[in-house]
Amino acid sequence: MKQCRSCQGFVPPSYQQCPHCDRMIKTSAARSWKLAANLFLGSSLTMTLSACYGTPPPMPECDPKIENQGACVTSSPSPTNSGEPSPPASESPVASASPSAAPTVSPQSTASPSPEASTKP
Amino acid sequence: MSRSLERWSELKGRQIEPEQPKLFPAYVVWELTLSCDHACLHCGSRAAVSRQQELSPEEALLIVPQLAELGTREVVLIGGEAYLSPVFLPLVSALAEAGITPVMTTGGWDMTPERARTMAQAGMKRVSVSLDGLEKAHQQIRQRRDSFKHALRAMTAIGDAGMDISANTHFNRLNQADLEGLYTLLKMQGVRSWQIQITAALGRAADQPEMLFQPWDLLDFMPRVAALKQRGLTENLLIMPGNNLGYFGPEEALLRSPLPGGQDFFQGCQAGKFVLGIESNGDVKGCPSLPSLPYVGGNLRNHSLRDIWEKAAALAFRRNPSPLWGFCATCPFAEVCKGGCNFTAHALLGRPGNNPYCHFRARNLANKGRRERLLRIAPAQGNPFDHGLFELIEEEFNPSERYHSASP
Repeated sequence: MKQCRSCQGFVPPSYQQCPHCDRMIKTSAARSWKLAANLFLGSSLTMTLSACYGTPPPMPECDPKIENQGACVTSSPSPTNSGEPSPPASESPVASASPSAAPTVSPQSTASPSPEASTKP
Repeated sequence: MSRSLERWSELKGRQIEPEQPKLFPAYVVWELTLSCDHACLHCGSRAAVSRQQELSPEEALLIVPQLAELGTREVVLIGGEAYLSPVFLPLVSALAEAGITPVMTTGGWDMTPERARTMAQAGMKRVSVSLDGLEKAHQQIRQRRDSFKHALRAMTAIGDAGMDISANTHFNRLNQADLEGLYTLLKMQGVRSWQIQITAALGRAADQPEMLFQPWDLLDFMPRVAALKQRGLTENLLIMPGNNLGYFGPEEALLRSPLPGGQDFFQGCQAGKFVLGIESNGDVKGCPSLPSLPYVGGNLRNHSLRDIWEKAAALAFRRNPSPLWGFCATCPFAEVCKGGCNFTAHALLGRPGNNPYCHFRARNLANKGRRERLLRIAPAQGNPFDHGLFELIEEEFNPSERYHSASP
C-alpha cells in the first residue's frame, strides 16, 4: 500500500489523494521501478499475529554490527545482548509489511521505504 | 539456543504472510480454566469459578500433539487464571517438548518466586502480566485490594526466574489517563513488550457501558499510543496494539510494526485463519475473544482438532468473510481492513462487518463535524463471552471537544 509523504498515512491503491491530509499523491519513477521489481522478483507481505487475550511478541535485541536484522539497525542495542550472537538472516523477522524483493530481509529496502511523492493540490 | 536467538525466533513465529494459501493455527490462545483469583469488571469471560466439565489434565495433554501436527508455533495459556489449573505445569512442559513456545497471560496474584521458577524450569518463555492502570484504576477494575502490588511483585518474580516480562492492558474510560504513567512504570519494572487493546463490550464489560470508550475517544488516545510506541522503539519497550485497536490513522505503520521503520498495517481479523482459541471445556473458536455461541466450531472431546479446523463452518467465517456494512462498507481501506476486529464489532452491534472503534472512521467523521455515540439498548445475559446490543447514533461533534473528549 502507498504511504503519503506528508503525513505517513497509508493511501488506498486507487486513491490519488491522501485520505488523511488531502495531499495529492503521485507515483514517482523510482516507485514505479520498485513496484515493477517487486512484481518480477516476488513480493512478501507479513503481519504480526495478535489476540486480545494473548501476549505481545518479544522485544528482540538489536545489534547494529550485525547485518540482516531489518530495521533494528536504527535502534539502540539492549544492555542484555552483549556477548550473545544475533540470528542468521533466515532467522530474522521481517521488519516491514511492504513488498520486499526477496524472501530474506534487506534492511535498507524494508526499513526505509520510499514514500510517495506528494504535491499540495 | 540463547534467549536472544529465541526472541528473534519467537517474533518470526508470530509473523505470517496472510495471503499464503495454507491456513494453520500458528497462534493459539488456550483458556485452561475459568477459575480465577480476580473477578474483573471488564472480564469478557466473566471468570471467577471454573466452567462445568473443564478438560481433565489427561484430555488436555492429548491436544498438544494435535497442535504440533497442525503447525502451531506459540500457545498462550490463559484463564481465568491459568496457574490454578492442575494441567498448567505439565502442559507447559508438553508444549515445550513438542517445539511449541509456551507463554502465559496472568493477573499475577499468586505468582510467587517459587511458582515462577517452576514455570521457567518447565519451559515457559514469556509471561504477560495484566496491568489495567496505575494503582487506583487497576484495583477498581480488578476488584481486589492489593492486586496492583501483587502484579508488580509478579513481574519481579518472572524476571528473577529468567523469563521475559511482558504486560497487557485493556484501556477504557476508567484508566485511559494512566497511559503515559504506565509506560514509565513498566519501563522501571523491566517489561520488554506491552500489548495495548481497548475494552470491548463483552462479558462483564457489557454490564459497564459507561466504562467503554466512545468512538471519538480514539482521536485523543491513538496519537498518545503512537508517541509512546515511537519512544519504546528506542528504549527497548515494544508496544504492540491488540487487534481491536486501530485502524488506518496516520500512525498505522508505526503502531502495527514490531520493528522501527516497518510498514506493517492491519490486514483483517485472522480468526480461524492463523489464530485459534480453545475454551477450558474443549470448545474451539477462531479467536479466544469471540462470543461463544455463534463461533464455537466443535468440541475436542468429540472431534479432532484437525477436523474442527478444516471442516467447522463457525471457524471458517473469516475465510469467506461476510459482507461489510455501515461505514465499513464504504471505507477506502475496506479491502485490507475488512471491518477490523470481528469480536469487538459483534459484541456491540450483534454481527461483524461494521466496527465503530476505528481511528480512521472517527477522524473522517470529526472532519465533517460528526461523531458516533454508542448507546446500550439491551443488556448481556450474564454468560462467559456474551454481549448486549448497542445502538450507533451519529450526531454533531463540537470541534472544541475533539481532542479533549476522554472523560465520560
